Amino acid sequence: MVLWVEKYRPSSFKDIIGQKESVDKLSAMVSKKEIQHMILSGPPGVGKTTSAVVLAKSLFGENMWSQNFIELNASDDRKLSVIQGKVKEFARTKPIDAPFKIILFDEADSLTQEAQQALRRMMEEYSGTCRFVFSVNYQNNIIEPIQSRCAILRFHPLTREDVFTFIRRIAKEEELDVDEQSMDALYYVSKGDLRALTNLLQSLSSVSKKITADVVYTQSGILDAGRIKEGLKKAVSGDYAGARKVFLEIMDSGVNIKELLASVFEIIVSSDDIVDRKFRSYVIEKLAETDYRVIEGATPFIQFQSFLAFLSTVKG
Amino acid sequence: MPRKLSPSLENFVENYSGSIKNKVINGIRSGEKRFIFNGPSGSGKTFLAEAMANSMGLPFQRINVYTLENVEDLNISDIIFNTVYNAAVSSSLLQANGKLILIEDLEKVLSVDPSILSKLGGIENSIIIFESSSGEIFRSKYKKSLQGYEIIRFYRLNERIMTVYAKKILALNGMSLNDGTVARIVKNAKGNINSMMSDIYTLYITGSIETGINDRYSENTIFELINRVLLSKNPDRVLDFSTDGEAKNFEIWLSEKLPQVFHKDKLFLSYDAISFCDMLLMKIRKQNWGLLKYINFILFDAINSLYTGENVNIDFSAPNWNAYYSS
Repeated sequence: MVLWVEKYRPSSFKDIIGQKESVDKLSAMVSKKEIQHMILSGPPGVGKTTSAVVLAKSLFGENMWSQNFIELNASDDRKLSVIQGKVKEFARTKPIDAPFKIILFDEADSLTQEAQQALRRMMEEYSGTCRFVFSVNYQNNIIEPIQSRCAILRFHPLTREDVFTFIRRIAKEEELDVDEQSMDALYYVSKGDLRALTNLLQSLSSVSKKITADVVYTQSGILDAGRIKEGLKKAVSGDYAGARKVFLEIMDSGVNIKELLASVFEIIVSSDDIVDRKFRSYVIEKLAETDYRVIEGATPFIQFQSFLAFLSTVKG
Repeated sequence: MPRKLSPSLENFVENYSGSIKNKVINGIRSGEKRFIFNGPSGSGKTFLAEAMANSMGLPFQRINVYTLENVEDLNISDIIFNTVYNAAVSSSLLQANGKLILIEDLEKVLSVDPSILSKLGGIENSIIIFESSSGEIFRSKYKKSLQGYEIIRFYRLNERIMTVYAKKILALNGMSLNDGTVARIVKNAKGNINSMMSDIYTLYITGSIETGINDRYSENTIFELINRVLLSKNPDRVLDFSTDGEAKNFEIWLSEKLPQVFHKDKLFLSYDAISFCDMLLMKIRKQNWGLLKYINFILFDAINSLYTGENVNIDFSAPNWNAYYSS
């Protein structure tokens, strides 16, 4: 069985959805046959790694690219000595039929400060043979000396339209039946992460070619949005006890509080019928406070109930 | 790769001509051999060290304490000391005059073992310079360890100097850009020469101004985004902060606009929201990125309410940041 993530991974710049600015820069690099150190920053699943691979392929050619390109991701050992060894081994030899080799640090957010300090030196040392590309979710996780030596390419969150375009592309190819409502559900569940979306679609398609919004929600592995909505509605209508019961059940089923808070946030923000627009900011502020306190180490059980109690006084 | 200026004393730039350079030259003339170069990234510390070495005809060597090889039976402190010692003391006749050695990240060395610095004091021949980029070294507990070292402070370059430098580099590479573009590059780099060089490199590759400039600090472009959102009357949340700096600037912008729109209790509530965001931002600096989404929402909601609020003329242009931050 072919993984769809690989099957639908763009193989040329024109297939990459959105991200026009970054893609323009990258293709300019290819046509000039000159690249610089880069930081690709943006949320997950919007094409950072893909762009780097496409860059390597179009720069080095379909046959040679794997010789001149190495990807180190978070699943590899992030110990300093290991990184150093790998980089040295790769960078030591001359590139084959190309001006440079490319080293891609995927999920570079998880690189320690020490590793980054060492990399900063290696970037200069091997600048004759090698270009370093860092893919990160947040640019600030990279130390300034590295940031300043890199071009910064921003990858933006995909819009609803972009995601729909992508879903239609797959649906056409795989003969799936996806209506507007389920596309919306897919967009909500994947939060614009095309990788997560593709995986979800593939697992759904093995059950049925017809994708409905309900199936998306239940199969996506995220929390039951319907249940949470029910709980929130109860709370807002003033029924604290009822809301508490619903959420205790959800929490008892072994849900991580962080996931729960994230879902509550998404639901309040994305639908108008739960909390009145007027109060939304206020409610989100309280929710943030709850999250903040939980991060600080407070008891999730108490904090969340306090949020519910607050919600039941809002009367939206 | 675009050509760079070679490291020589003539090519070194600083805000007040000669103030840093002459301090080092005079120090060396009067026999000093130990320095600490303290200043932010991209302010010319490495460049000046290399330029000094070139002008004195000394071999230049950089040591990065993070890339030292592990040696068995030795602790880290000894490894660092031995490396510097072996570099500084050389029996080769060719190097009778010693070397100029630059050691990166003094903070790390101090955290391993502050006594390394005084142990290096005895080496006669070579000039040893430690590089440091934070205020950590000025803490009183390190005062003793840093004795015998002259601390030279570097500063972020101002825009005037950066512009002159940018034009020099552009001329060197036969690139011609209009003044507006140069000003954008300079602003974008925020006084960091390395950033500016990287941006010029990008322009050198892409050759076009539209796609060429990196928005290195998106704080600068966030206002364009806000304007686009407001002008298109698009309620969809297209706005997304990717750094805390972006959110911070947005906050300050909002706090300037709020009194133009809201009064009394409404004004208080909206300021309340912003001050809360401000506190959350503090947490975010400690790497809790998950919290950014709340700020994103609250601030965006605030701007929406500005938009749907009373009919008031709002000036959507960016405020003058220098009034808030004199960085």
